[in-house]
Amino acid sequence: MSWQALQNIDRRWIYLMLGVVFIISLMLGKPQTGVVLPTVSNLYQAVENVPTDKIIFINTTFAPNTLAESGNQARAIIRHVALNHHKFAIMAVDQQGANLGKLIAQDVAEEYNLKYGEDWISFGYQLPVLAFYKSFPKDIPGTVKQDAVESKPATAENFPIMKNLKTANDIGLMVEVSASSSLFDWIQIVQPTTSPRLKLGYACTGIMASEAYPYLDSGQLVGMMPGLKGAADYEQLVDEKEKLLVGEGKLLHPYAESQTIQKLIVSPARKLMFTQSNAHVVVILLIIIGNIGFLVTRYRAKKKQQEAAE
Amino acid sequence: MTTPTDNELVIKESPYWPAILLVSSGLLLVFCIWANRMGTNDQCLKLLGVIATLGIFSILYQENPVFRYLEHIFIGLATGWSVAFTWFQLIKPKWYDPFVPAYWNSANTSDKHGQWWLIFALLLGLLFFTVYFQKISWMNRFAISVLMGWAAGNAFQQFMGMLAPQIVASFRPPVTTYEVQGLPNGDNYHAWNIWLHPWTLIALIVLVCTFAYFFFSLEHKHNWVRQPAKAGRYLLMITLGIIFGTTVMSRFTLLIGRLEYLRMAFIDWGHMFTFWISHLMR
Repeated sequence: MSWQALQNIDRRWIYLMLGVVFIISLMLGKPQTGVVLPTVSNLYQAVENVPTDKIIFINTTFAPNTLAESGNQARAIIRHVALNHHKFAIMAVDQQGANLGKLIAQDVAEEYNLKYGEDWISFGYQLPVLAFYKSFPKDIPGTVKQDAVESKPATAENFPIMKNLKTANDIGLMVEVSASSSLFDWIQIVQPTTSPRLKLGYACTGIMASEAYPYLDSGQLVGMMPGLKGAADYEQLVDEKEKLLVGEGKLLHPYAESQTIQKLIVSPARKLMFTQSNAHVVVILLIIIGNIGFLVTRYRAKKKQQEAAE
Repeated sequence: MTTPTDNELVIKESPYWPAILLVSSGLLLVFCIWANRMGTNDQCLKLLGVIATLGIFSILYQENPVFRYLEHIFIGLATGWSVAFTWFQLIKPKWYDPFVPAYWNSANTSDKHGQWWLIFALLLGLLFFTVYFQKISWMNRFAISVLMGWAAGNAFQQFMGMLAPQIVASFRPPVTTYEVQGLPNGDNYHAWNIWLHPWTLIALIVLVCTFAYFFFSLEHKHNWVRQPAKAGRYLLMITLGIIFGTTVMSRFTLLIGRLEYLRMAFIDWGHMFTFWISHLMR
């Protein structure tokens, strides 16, 4: 047997192997119940602590390619906000994210009987330029100008939710669901100009999580939902809360994925996380196999050298 | 098993490909116009989604014209859609509607019209395009200087806004005689009115070691510099490993999202097929 071959497996066999594991896991998959990350609990707690007269902003700055991560994160947090009867606003500095965020919010709003303009509003796409970030904290209606569903001026006459939304001080929490570096604009430009400091939560893709941890330690972020794992953990917390509310009779039925969004986000994050965990096991096995091949080859080469020297 | 070389992976493309792809583009255009006029059909859209996903996945086997075609379609669609979306969601409500007189604007979405001074925004923007005319190309410097000046002035504020809390957080004392709020649970150990913060101590050690690795003003020959620098290198490698791990995890998620889409589409069609068969058997 050539141990060298273990280090040079054709990548197409690896893709096939992973593909089979993914498909079988998705077919067998059940929602995974795991240990909730502390950063996710902190974000959940931050939403719980927001006074009901304050508005929660959920910025959906992502594109369809990260729907499995960002879409599930956005859905989980909007569900939580809806369960708490908080008023919320959707906004994005990405064109596609603005539309996706609106669709997800519409779906959740339909499930929880939320009224547009009273319980929630969508401000759509905002151009991510300095002027926007400078004027937003001081004059929100003047900066966003109009809503994205009815295309009406964002005034209290048109939308009752706007009565309590004038400046950044009216925002209880801003959650940036992002697949880009948009968070840093809020940290750099908006947060230092607000007093008390604007509370920021972060729901990022897995790749971006490691660079955001320093902002948690410094208090610039109140919590974080990293990647699919974060979405699955948050969904678990929201599911538990929802179960409790259904048990107490405060909610008629648990959340069910409706047809509106089924085309976009087809399964719960916890189910996808089960598949991801299985894929991780395969990758770890492949790393072990590759390393065994490397170590045995090196040992044999050394042995051969020693024999030649003798 | 051997890995194919790059030469083996390159296939000779058929001369008919451009014609096939051109006809496909025409059919796609006709389909889009039809779908737009007749209302979107979920099954047709699903079929398009499945074909596009499988076509993009074909790169996993080898480079091919179908992948390139779909890649360009995706980029073209995303760009075209973004341009239209930016006009309707941003430029029209925030610039065009307030700018034009009320009698010009049929939509009447803005409460204020005829703000003629918004013309200056257009003029400033147009200055960027003077670069294409040699005689007046010097004028684009006005637009660039305005933007550069504004950005430079704000850069310092942004830098401090982001990094000042980071610097403060990096200089937390590892031992205090008072309780410190905001540290992780279980971090505080109470003994003789002294609070120990082991995580802060670890953070401090990691910070110093990493700094030592990048500190080139002193030659790394003395132990007191070399050893922390060596530790710093390992700590950096651990950090980079974590970043790589999360990158792989994120890529898997993207793949899982698409595979789940395919699975649900096939399940849906399976149900439809079973329904038709049972209907025909009656």
